Amino acid sequence: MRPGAVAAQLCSHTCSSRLRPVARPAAHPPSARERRFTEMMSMDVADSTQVYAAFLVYLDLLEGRNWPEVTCFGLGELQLVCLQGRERETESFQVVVPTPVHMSFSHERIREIMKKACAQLDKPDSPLSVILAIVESDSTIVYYKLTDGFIMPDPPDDTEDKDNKQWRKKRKKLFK
Amino acid sequence: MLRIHVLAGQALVWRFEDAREIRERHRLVGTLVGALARTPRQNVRLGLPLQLLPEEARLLAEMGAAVLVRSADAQPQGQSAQASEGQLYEQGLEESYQEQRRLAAQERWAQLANLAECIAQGRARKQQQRGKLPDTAPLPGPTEEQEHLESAFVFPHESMMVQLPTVWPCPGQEEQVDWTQPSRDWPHAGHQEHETRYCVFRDLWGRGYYVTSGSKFGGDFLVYPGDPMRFHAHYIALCCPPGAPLPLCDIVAAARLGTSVKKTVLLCSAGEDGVVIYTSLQWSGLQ
Repeated sequence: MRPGAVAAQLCSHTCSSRLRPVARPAAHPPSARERRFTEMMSMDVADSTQVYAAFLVYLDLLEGRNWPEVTCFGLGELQLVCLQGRERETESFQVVVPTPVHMSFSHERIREIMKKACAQLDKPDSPLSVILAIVESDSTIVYYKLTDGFIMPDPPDDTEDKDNKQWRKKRKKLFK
Repeated sequence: MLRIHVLAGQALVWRFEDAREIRERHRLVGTLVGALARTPRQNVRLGLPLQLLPEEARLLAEMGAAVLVRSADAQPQGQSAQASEGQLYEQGLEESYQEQRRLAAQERWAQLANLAECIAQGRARKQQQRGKLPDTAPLPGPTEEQEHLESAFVFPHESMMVQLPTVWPCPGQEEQVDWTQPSRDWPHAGHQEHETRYCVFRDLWGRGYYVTSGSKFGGDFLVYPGDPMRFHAHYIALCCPPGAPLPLCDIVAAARLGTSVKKTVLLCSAGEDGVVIYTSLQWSGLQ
């Protein structure tokens, strides 16, 4: 797929709230973002749907969520283009694995992805962790974090709200 | 030795001592599924039997702490045998009724004796009201009421107390069930799904958690850090058979549910070497 053709295709999406590269005639020089897309495609690691998903996630992180730094790398054996970035300057790098929604993974494959992706980060002590970015056909992206081992859930801290709710219910019943 | 009765794949514990030991000594929870004799028509508090998950029953059998038993097929009883059993029961009921009636009559007699004085005074007052002369002092001996007690005493059958036995009477012989072989009453042995679930269950239990059924939250197990009476569950365990693909929609659904009920979703799968690997699934926190 050539960048110009991709740009035209991108324009045909009707969802205007998502950031999209503006369509350009082929004569203008490609923007940094489009260059990045070409770079992803040229890695020749994954099929075009996965690369497209990766590109959308790349744009969402950089432009939509203002991550200061996002780079891409390929996992050849697993046929995936992955992203590496951090949410803020102060935080450490995380791996984001973009995937179109129709792909399915077995648990074993997920583990493999986690191992290989975290090998990229070169942090042997920290637990295996990736963010799975699931891209829908309408370009909605949901992010879920996968970590090796047992991660305790956050304790419920809104006990005050709960009490208020129950108190309000009781009052309603009493004064009916 | 704990006895677990199996019936069509379900594992039931009928003795309360066994149920207690299973919870206190072996850290297995199970579910109470029986109606309480005194409060039958509600589902808040249930009683024996305790139903165990197939994995719980297998764990106890594997540890050697319990045996799986089933009732031997009942010998078809002849009509006459059944009739005589019924007759015996009716006879027993009638005897109990007569005994209860006798005791009730005795009590009534004693009651009347206690109140004899009050009754006499009441009668005297009435006679005065009607203008008659009061009788002389009440005579000793049985009062009128007491004399008529035998004929006038009413003790209807509905007032009778009937005992309902709540310990399961074993109707026939019991025979042991081999949990390693699939059979009519224990079909789980050898099924891949059961093996995977059991591997995960045993590993979680071995780590000191309390593990119960997770069907209320769309998972296989709920994992508690302590007794479920004292703690909320921390994890919803989803067992993944080896090599089975997980649709991403299911992953999103499970993670979303976990976030909204404040539990972490654990994807669990058992490797060939028996080692179980866990992946925690959480919301990423990206707004």
